[in-house]
Amino acid sequence: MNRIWNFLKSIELTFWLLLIITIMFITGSLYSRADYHLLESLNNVPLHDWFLKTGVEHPEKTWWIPVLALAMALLALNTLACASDRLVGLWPRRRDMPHARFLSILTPSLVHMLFIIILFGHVLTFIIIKHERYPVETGSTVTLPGNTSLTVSSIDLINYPAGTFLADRLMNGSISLSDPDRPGTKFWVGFLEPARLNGAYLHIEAAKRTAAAKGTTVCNRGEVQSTVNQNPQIFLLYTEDPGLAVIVIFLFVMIALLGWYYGSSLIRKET
Amino acid sequence: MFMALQLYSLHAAALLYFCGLLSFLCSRESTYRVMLVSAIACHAVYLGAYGYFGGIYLFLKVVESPAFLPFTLACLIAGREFVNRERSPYALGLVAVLAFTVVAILTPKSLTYFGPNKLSIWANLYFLADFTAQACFIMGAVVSLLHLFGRWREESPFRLVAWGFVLHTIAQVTGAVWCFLGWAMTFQWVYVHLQSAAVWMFYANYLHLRLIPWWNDKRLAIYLVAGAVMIILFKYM
Repeated sequence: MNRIWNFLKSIELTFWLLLIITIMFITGSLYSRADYHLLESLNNVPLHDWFLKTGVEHPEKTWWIPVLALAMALLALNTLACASDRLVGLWPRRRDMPHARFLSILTPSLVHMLFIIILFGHVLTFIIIKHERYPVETGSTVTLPGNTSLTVSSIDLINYPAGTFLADRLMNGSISLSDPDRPGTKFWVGFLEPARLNGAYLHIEAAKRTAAAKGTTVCNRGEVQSTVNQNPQIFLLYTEDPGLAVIVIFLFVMIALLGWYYGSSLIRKET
Repeated sequence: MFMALQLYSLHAAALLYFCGLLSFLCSRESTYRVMLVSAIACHAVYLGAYGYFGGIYLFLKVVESPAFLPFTLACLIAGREFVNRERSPYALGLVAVLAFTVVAILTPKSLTYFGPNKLSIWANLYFLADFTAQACFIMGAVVSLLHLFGRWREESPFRLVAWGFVLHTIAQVTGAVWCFLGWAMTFQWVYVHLQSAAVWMFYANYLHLRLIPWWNDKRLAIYLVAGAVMIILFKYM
């Protein structure tokens, strides 16, 4: 038991796992460059569903994903073992040093614990995410998961000013939605300004109306024109992502702790 | 006229960086500092004008510009030189500044369309943090290279790389918020995000290497140089 614990908390294991994970991410990025749409189809779908349907059909391009998942799981265990071992060793010494000094020494362990929580947030996202995409027009009605219906009251698109290089290109926009079952209930969704509905998020995105190849992304670099003759297609996105809040909130806390730790060590060195 | 001023300000910056480097190598410290500040001023004029895009001003074009990385690198060098006036190896980072500036001069101006999802303060913050982090990592590699050649052994790149890591983490957060607001997800399975994750893991590993006895100074220096090569390959390949 002791040997397993010592192996799990070893810093050498951390080194090898981080190295493997780095190599797997680089491998993934190379495959993404070679076949962008295959990996892109993994966005916003549960990882296990995608892997069993699509991933297994292309093992030569997706083999690194289970290796990455396994290495990440081991890294989480390794981090938990390392951080808890350090905390157990530090705690009895809390009265032997000034409060600020103790907090400073404690910070790396807290950062490691936060890292595990953030990894857990990503696991939630990759496993439970629910995402739907609906093309919408003014007056159309969409039925969202949970049988909520929303009618598009209006679509307002704003172009870059006339006379500029980007005239006739979409700069901003929004759609107004109403719930036919609950008169008076209205939602407003803009680009970069999602709305919340029953714990889910509603976003919009725009794409060319011309038929694109299957799997083609709605990329902001696409020349989405918005003229009298050529309006872009607007999509309503519905996303339930239980990991989102965990990831974003704890990443902010992690930055604050890292900044405080390296900032205070800088001050200590100078004094 | 405006375009010419913009173009030649970057050429002038490159020339001044080169003269600054020569002054440093000839031990003319005050000339070197004047050249460096003048070069940064010219570089700032170029970047400021780069945001002007056919009738509109987009700050995102400034921070996304290929000339932004050498600018952050030069600012990092200047910051170090004016905080600590002792002769330091940071001045030799001007070689990297010059190389990246020449690449920026040779890169045609991007006419990329800026769709609604790009017009976010989070995008600006992301590029600011990401480029500054890259500048720290590259500067760390320059200091490491000098270690490998037996120069300036008293200067450790650790603190610089640690701050680069903090900035890269800030880039991850601001990037995640921007990605969520624009595309309804915090992480996409596309090469840009995968590369960013690889860089984060690589430098997280570096921060732990000091705790492993067989990672001596020479190996750590090689590791940092490898990191800079990885960043440059991701950026330009």
